[in-house]
Amino acid sequence: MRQVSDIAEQHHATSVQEVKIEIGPLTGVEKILVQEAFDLLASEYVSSDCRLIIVEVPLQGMCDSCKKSIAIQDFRFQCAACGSSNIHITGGDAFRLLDVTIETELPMGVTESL
Amino acid sequence: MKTAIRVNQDIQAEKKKRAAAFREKLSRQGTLILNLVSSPGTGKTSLLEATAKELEGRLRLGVLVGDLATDRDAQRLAPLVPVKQLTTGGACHLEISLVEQGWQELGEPELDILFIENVGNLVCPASHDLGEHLRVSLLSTTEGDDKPGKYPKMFRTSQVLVLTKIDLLAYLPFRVEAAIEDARLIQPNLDIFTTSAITAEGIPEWCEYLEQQRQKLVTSVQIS
Repeated sequence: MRQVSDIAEQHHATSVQEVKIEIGPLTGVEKILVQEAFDLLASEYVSSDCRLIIVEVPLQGMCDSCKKSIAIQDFRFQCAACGSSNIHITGGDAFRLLDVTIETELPMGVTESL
Repeated sequence: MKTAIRVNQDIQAEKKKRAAAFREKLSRQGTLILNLVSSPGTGKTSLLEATAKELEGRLRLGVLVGDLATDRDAQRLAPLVPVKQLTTGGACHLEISLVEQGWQELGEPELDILFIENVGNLVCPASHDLGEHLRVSLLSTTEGDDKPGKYPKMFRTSQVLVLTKIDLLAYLPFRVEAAIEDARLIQPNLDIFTTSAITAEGIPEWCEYLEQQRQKLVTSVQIS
Protein backbone atom coordinates (compact mmCIF):
# COMPACT_ATOMS: atom_id res chain seq x y z
CA MET A 1 0.00 0.00 0.00
CA ARG A 2 2.96 2.29 0.62
CA GLN A 3 4.09 1.63 -2.96
CA VAL A 4 0.60 2.50 -4.20
CA SER A 5 0.39 5.74 -2.23
CA ASP A 6 3.92 6.69 -3.38
CA ILE A 7 2.89 6.18 -7.01
CA ALA A 8 -0.27 8.22 -6.47
CA GLU A 9 1.78 11.04 -4.96
CA GLN A 10 4.38 10.95 -7.74
CA HIS A 11 1.67 11.35 -10.35
CA HIS A 12 -0.25 14.02 -8.41
CA ALA A 13 -3.31 11.78 -8.25
CA THR A 14 -6.46 13.13 -6.71
CA SER A 15 -7.60 9.57 -5.98
CA VAL A 16 -6.67 5.94 -6.52
CA GLN A 17 -9.50 4.00 -8.11
CA GLU A 18 -8.06 0.57 -8.67
CA VAL A 19 -5.06 -1.54 -7.73
CA LYS A 20 -4.26 -4.65 -9.73
CA ILE A 21 -2.02 -7.37 -8.30
CA GLU A 22 -0.85 -10.79 -9.42
CA ILE A 23 -0.65 -13.86 -7.21
CA GLY A 24 0.09 -17.52 -7.92
CA PRO A 25 0.26 -20.89 -6.19
CA LEU A 26 3.80 -20.28 -4.89
CA THR A 27 3.32 -16.65 -3.87
CA GLY A 28 2.50 -17.57 -0.29
CA VAL A 29 -0.54 -15.30 -0.42
CA GLU A 30 -4.18 -16.31 -0.11
CA LYS A 31 -6.72 -14.41 -2.23
CA ILE A 32 -9.36 -13.95 0.50
CA LEU A 33 -6.78 -12.83 3.05
CA VAL A 34 -5.08 -10.35 0.75
CA GLN A 35 -8.49 -8.86 -0.04
CA GLU A 36 -9.23 -8.51 3.69
CA ALA A 37 -5.84 -6.90 4.32
CA PHE A 38 -6.38 -4.53 1.39
CA ASP A 39 -9.82 -3.50 2.69
CA LEU A 40 -8.31 -2.75 6.10
CA LEU A 41 -5.44 -0.67 4.70
CA ALA A 42 -7.19 1.04 1.78
CA SER A 43 -8.85 3.72 3.92
CA GLU A 44 -5.53 4.52 5.61
CA TYR A 45 -3.40 4.76 2.47
CA VAL A 46 -5.76 5.63 -0.39
CA SER A 47 -9.52 5.55 0.08
CA SER A 48 -12.00 2.94 1.22
CA ASP A 49 -13.71 2.77 -2.19
CA CYS A 50 -10.49 1.84 -4.02
CA ARG A 51 -10.95 -1.51 -5.78
CA LEU A 52 -8.53 -4.42 -5.68
CA ILE A 53 -8.28 -6.62 -8.76
CA ILE A 54 -6.51 -9.93 -8.12
CA VAL A 55 -5.12 -11.72 -11.14
CA GLU A 56 -4.47 -15.38 -10.33
CA VAL A 57 -1.86 -17.00 -12.53
CA PRO A 58 -1.05 -20.72 -12.68
CA LEU A 59 2.36 -22.18 -11.85
CA GLN A 60 4.37 -22.24 -15.06
CA GLY A 61 7.80 -23.58 -15.79
CA MET A 62 10.37 -24.14 -18.48
CA CYS A 63 12.04 -27.52 -18.87
CA ASP A 64 15.79 -27.00 -19.02
CA SER A 65 16.26 -30.37 -20.71
CA CYS A 66 13.79 -30.22 -23.62
CA LYS A 67 13.17 -26.44 -23.50
CA LYS A 68 9.39 -26.88 -23.48
CA SER A 69 7.16 -24.53 -21.57
CA ILE A 70 5.03 -26.50 -19.10
CA ALA A 71 2.21 -26.14 -16.59
CA ILE A 72 3.25 -27.37 -13.13
CA GLN A 73 0.43 -29.37 -11.54
CA ASP A 74 0.19 -30.15 -7.82
CA PHE A 75 3.71 -28.80 -7.19
CA ARG A 76 5.22 -31.76 -9.00
CA PHE A 77 8.21 -30.31 -10.78
CA GLN A 78 8.52 -32.82 -13.55
CA CYS A 79 8.32 -32.23 -17.31
CA ALA A 80 5.27 -33.94 -18.83
CA ALA A 81 7.04 -34.21 -22.19
CA CYS A 82 10.48 -35.64 -21.32
CA GLY A 83 10.22 -36.56 -17.62
CA SER A 84 13.10 -34.31 -16.57
CA SER A 85 13.08 -32.61 -13.17
CA ASN A 86 15.29 -29.75 -14.34
CA ILE A 87 12.60 -27.14 -14.38
CA HIS A 88 12.78 -23.49 -13.59
CA ILE A 89 9.73 -21.51 -12.60
CA THR A 90 8.62 -18.84 -15.09
CA GLY A 91 5.38 -17.73 -13.44
CA GLY A 92 3.15 -18.14 -10.41
CA ASP A 93 5.75 -17.61 -7.70
CA ALA A 94 5.76 -13.83 -7.39
CA PHE A 95 3.51 -11.37 -5.61
CA ARG A 96 3.41 -8.51 -8.11
CA LEU A 97 1.90 -5.07 -8.22
CA LEU A 98 0.69 -4.78 -11.83
CA ASP A 99 -1.26 -1.54 -12.32
CA VAL A 100 -2.45 1.40 -10.29
CA THR A 101 -5.37 3.30 -11.78
CA ILE A 102 -5.50 6.89 -10.62
CA GLU A 103 -7.61 9.97 -11.18
CA THR A 104 -5.79 13.22 -11.95
CA GLU A 105 -7.06 16.75 -12.51
CA LEU A 106 -4.91 17.27 -15.62
CA PRO A 107 -3.94 14.83 -18.36
CA MET A 108 -0.77 12.87 -17.56
CA GLY A 109 2.45 14.65 -18.42
CA VAL A 110 0.83 18.09 -18.24
CA THR A 111 2.04 20.02 -15.23
CA GLU A 112 0.32 22.86 -13.46
CA SER A 113 2.71 25.47 -14.83
CA LEU A 114 1.80 24.84 -18.47
CA MET B 1 -8.79 12.17 -15.92
CA LYS B 2 -8.42 8.43 -15.32
CA THR B 3 -5.05 6.79 -16.01
CA ALA B 4 -3.70 3.29 -15.41
CA ILE B 5 -0.04 3.38 -14.35
CA ARG B 6 1.84 0.23 -15.31
CA VAL B 7 4.04 -0.90 -12.39
CA ASN B 8 4.59 -4.65 -12.90
CA GLN B 9 6.98 -4.96 -9.97
CA ASP B 10 7.53 -7.61 -7.32
CA ILE B 11 5.92 -6.29 -4.12
CA GLN B 12 8.95 -7.55 -2.17
CA ALA B 13 11.45 -5.96 -4.61
CA GLU B 14 12.83 -3.52 -2.02
CA LYS B 15 13.38 -6.23 0.60
CA LYS B 16 14.94 -8.55 -1.97
CA LYS B 17 17.36 -5.80 -2.95
CA ARG B 18 18.41 -5.32 0.67
CA ALA B 19 18.84 -9.08 1.11
CA ALA B 20 21.01 -9.24 -2.02
CA ALA B 21 23.16 -6.36 -0.73
CA PHE B 22 23.64 -8.14 2.63
CA ARG B 23 24.61 -11.36 0.83
CA GLU B 24 27.05 -9.43 -1.36
CA LYS B 25 28.60 -7.64 1.62
CA LEU B 26 29.23 -10.84 3.56
CA SER B 27 30.39 -12.69 0.42
CA ARG B 28 33.18 -10.15 0.03
CA GLN B 29 34.45 -10.91 3.52
CA GLY B 30 34.17 -14.66 2.91
CA THR B 31 31.22 -15.32 5.20
CA LEU B 32 28.80 -18.00 4.04
CA ILE B 33 25.23 -17.37 5.22
CA LEU B 34 22.85 -20.25 5.94
CA ASN B 35 19.15 -19.79 6.69
CA LEU B 36 17.90 -22.71 8.79
CA VAL B 37 14.17 -23.32 8.51
CA SER B 38 11.89 -25.99 9.97
CA SER B 39 8.86 -26.62 12.16
CA PRO B 40 9.24 -25.81 15.86
CA GLY B 41 11.09 -28.59 17.66
CA THR B 42 12.76 -30.18 14.63
CA GLY B 43 16.17 -29.59 16.15
CA LYS B 44 17.64 -26.47 14.56
CA THR B 45 19.37 -25.43 17.78
CA SER B 46 20.49 -28.99 18.51
CA LEU B 47 21.98 -29.29 15.01
CA LEU B 48 23.82 -26.00 15.58
CA GLU B 49 25.16 -27.21 18.95
CA ALA B 50 26.44 -30.41 17.36
CA THR B 51 27.85 -28.45 14.39
CA ALA B 52 29.66 -25.96 16.64
CA LYS B 53 31.25 -28.80 18.63
CA GLU B 54 32.33 -30.62 15.48
CA LEU B 55 33.74 -27.52 13.78
CA GLU B 56 35.48 -26.07 16.84
CA GLY B 57 38.91 -24.83 15.78
CA ARG B 58 38.12 -25.47 12.10
CA LEU B 59 35.69 -22.69 11.18
CA ARG B 60 34.62 -19.46 12.86
CA LEU B 61 30.85 -19.65 13.32
CA GLY B 62 28.22 -17.17 14.43
CA VAL B 63 24.47 -17.43 14.92
CA LEU B 64 21.49 -15.10 14.70
CA VAL B 65 18.54 -16.92 16.21
CA GLY B 66 14.91 -15.90 15.80
CA ASP B 67 12.04 -16.65 18.14
CA LEU B 68 8.79 -14.96 19.10
CA ALA B 69 9.95 -14.65 22.69
CA THR B 70 12.72 -15.62 25.15
CA ASP B 71 16.47 -15.91 24.61
CA ARG B 72 16.55 -19.64 25.42
CA ASP B 73 18.18 -20.66 22.14
CA ALA B 74 20.82 -17.94 22.42
CA GLN B 75 21.58 -19.11 25.97
CA ARG B 76 22.09 -22.67 24.74
CA LEU B 77 24.43 -21.57 21.95
CA ALA B 78 26.34 -18.82 23.81
CA PRO B 79 28.94 -21.15 25.39
CA LEU B 80 29.84 -22.39 21.88
CA VAL B 81 29.61 -19.49 19.40
CA PRO B 82 28.95 -15.73 19.16
CA VAL B 83 25.17 -15.53 19.11
CA LYS B 84 22.48 -12.85 19.05
CA GLN B 85 18.85 -13.58 19.83
CA LEU B 86 16.31 -11.86 17.58
CA THR B 87 12.86 -11.70 19.12
CA THR B 88 10.11 -10.98 16.64
CA GLY B 89 7.53 -10.07 19.27
CA GLY B 90 4.91 -12.28 17.65
CA ALA B 91 5.84 -12.27 13.98
CA CYS B 92 6.06 -15.75 12.48
CA HIS B 93 9.27 -15.24 10.47
CA LEU B 94 12.46 -13.21 10.26
CA GLU B 95 12.91 -10.41 7.74
CA ILE B 96 16.04 -8.83 6.34
CA SER B 97 15.69 -5.73 8.55
CA LEU B 98 15.90 -7.87 11.71
CA VAL B 99 18.89 -9.75 10.31
CA GLU B 100 20.74 -6.52 9.43
CA GLN B 101 20.09 -5.18 12.93
CA GLY B 102 21.12 -8.45 14.60
CA TRP B 103 24.31 -8.57 12.55
CA GLN B 104 25.20 -5.07 13.75
CA GLU B 105 24.42 -5.96 17.36
CA LEU B 106 26.59 -9.05 17.05
CA GLY B 107 29.41 -6.62 16.25
CA GLU B 108 29.85 -7.73 12.61
CA PRO B 109 32.57 -10.23 13.54
CA GLU B 110 34.84 -11.93 11.00
CA LEU B 111 33.16 -15.28 10.46
CA ASP B 112 33.44 -18.19 8.07
CA ILE B 113 29.77 -19.11 8.45
CA LEU B 114 26.83 -17.11 9.75
CA PHE B 115 23.84 -19.27 10.62
CA ILE B 116 20.44 -17.64 10.75
CA GLU B 117 18.13 -19.87 12.75
CA ASN B 118 14.68 -18.83 11.60
CA VAL B 119 11.47 -18.90 13.64
CA GLY B 120 10.07 -22.44 13.74
CA ASN B 121 7.53 -22.38 10.91
CA LEU B 122 7.43 -24.09 7.50
CA VAL B 123 5.18 -21.49 5.88
CA CYS B 124 6.02 -17.77 6.13
CA PRO B 125 9.85 -17.97 6.29
CA ALA B 126 9.72 -19.47 2.78
CA SER B 127 8.66 -16.08 1.37
CA HIS B 128 11.52 -14.05 2.84
CA ASP B 129 15.06 -13.83 1.50
CA LEU B 130 17.38 -13.10 4.44
CA GLY B 131 20.46 -12.70 2.29
CA GLU B 132 21.39 -16.37 2.68
CA HIS B 133 23.61 -18.27 0.25
CA LEU B 134 21.91 -21.52 1.17
CA ARG B 135 18.49 -22.25 2.60
CA VAL B 136 18.56 -25.38 4.73
CA SER B 137 15.27 -27.12 5.53
CA LEU B 138 15.25 -29.48 8.48
CA LEU B 139 12.76 -32.31 8.84
CA SER B 140 12.67 -34.62 11.86
CA THR B 141 11.68 -38.26 11.96
CA THR B 142 8.94 -37.42 14.50
CA GLU B 143 7.18 -35.09 12.04
CA GLY B 144 6.45 -37.70 9.37
CA ASP B 145 7.82 -38.47 5.93
CA ASP B 146 4.85 -36.87 4.14
CA LYS B 147 5.73 -33.28 5.06
CA PRO B 148 7.69 -32.02 2.00
CA GLY B 149 4.66 -32.29 -0.32
CA LYS B 150 2.52 -30.37 2.18
CA TYR B 151 4.87 -27.39 2.33
CA PRO B 152 6.03 -27.11 -1.30
CA LYS B 153 7.31 -23.56 -1.23
CA MET B 154 9.69 -24.17 1.65
CA PHE B 155 11.24 -27.28 0.11
CA ARG B 156 11.24 -25.81 -3.42
CA THR B 157 13.21 -22.77 -2.26
CA SER B 158 15.75 -24.82 -0.26
CA GLN B 159 19.10 -26.08 -1.49
CA VAL B 160 19.71 -28.44 1.41
CA LEU B 161 17.57 -30.88 3.40
CA VAL B 162 18.76 -32.15 6.78
CA LEU B 163 16.80 -35.04 8.25
CA THR B 164 17.13 -34.92 12.05
CA LYS B 165 16.52 -37.27 15.01
CA ILE B 166 17.57 -40.20 12.86
CA ASP B 167 18.44 -42.10 16.07
CA LEU B 168 14.69 -42.48 16.69
CA LEU B 169 14.05 -44.34 13.42
CA ALA B 170 13.69 -47.70 15.18
CA TYR B 171 10.66 -46.42 17.14
CA LEU B 172 8.83 -44.56 14.35
CA PRO B 173 7.08 -45.38 11.07
CA PHE B 174 9.18 -42.68 9.33
CA ARG B 175 10.63 -43.90 6.00
CA VAL B 176 13.76 -42.01 5.02
CA GLU B 177 13.46 -42.97 1.35
CA ALA B 178 9.83 -41.79 1.16
CA ALA B 179 10.72 -38.41 2.68
CA ILE B 180 13.61 -37.97 0.25
CA GLU B 181 11.51 -38.99 -2.73
CA ASP B 182 8.74 -36.58 -1.74
CA ALA B 183 11.23 -33.73 -1.29
CA ARG B 184 13.00 -34.45 -4.58
CA LEU B 185 9.72 -34.28 -6.52
CA ILE B 186 9.54 -30.67 -5.41
CA GLN B 187 13.25 -29.85 -5.51
CA PRO B 188 15.38 -32.44 -7.36
CA ASN B 189 18.64 -30.59 -6.67
CA LEU B 190 18.51 -30.88 -2.87
CA ASP B 191 21.70 -31.89 -1.06
CA ILE B 192 20.49 -34.26 1.66
CA PHE B 193 21.94 -35.25 5.05
CA THR B 194 20.62 -37.66 7.64
CA THR B 195 21.69 -36.69 11.13
CA SER B 196 21.30 -37.16 14.84
CA ALA B 197 22.46 -34.42 17.19
CA ILE B 198 22.38 -36.95 20.05
CA THR B 199 24.56 -39.72 18.55
CA ALA B 200 26.37 -37.33 16.13
CA GLU B 201 25.52 -39.66 13.23
CA GLY B 202 25.84 -37.73 9.95
CA ILE B 203 27.31 -34.66 11.68
CA PRO B 204 30.84 -35.11 10.28
CA GLU B 205 29.45 -35.40 6.70
CA TRP B 206 27.27 -32.31 7.23
CA CYS B 207 30.25 -30.36 8.60
CA GLU B 208 32.49 -31.41 5.71
CA TYR B 209 29.82 -30.14 3.36
CA LEU B 210 29.78 -26.82 5.22
CA GLU B 211 33.56 -26.54 4.85
CA GLN B 212 33.28 -27.27 1.11
CA GLN B 213 30.49 -24.74 0.61
CA ARG B 214 32.41 -22.09 2.49
CA GLN B 215 35.50 -22.82 0.40
CA LYS B 216 33.40 -22.62 -2.76
CA LEU B 217 32.22 -19.15 -1.74
CA VAL B 218 35.77 -17.95 -1.01
CA THR B 219 36.99 -19.29 -4.36
CA SER B 220 34.14 -17.68 -6.30
CA VAL B 221 34.74 -14.32 -4.60
CA GLN B 222 38.48 -14.49 -5.39
CA ILE B 223 37.79 -15.34 -9.04
CA SER B 224 35.33 -12.47 -9.49
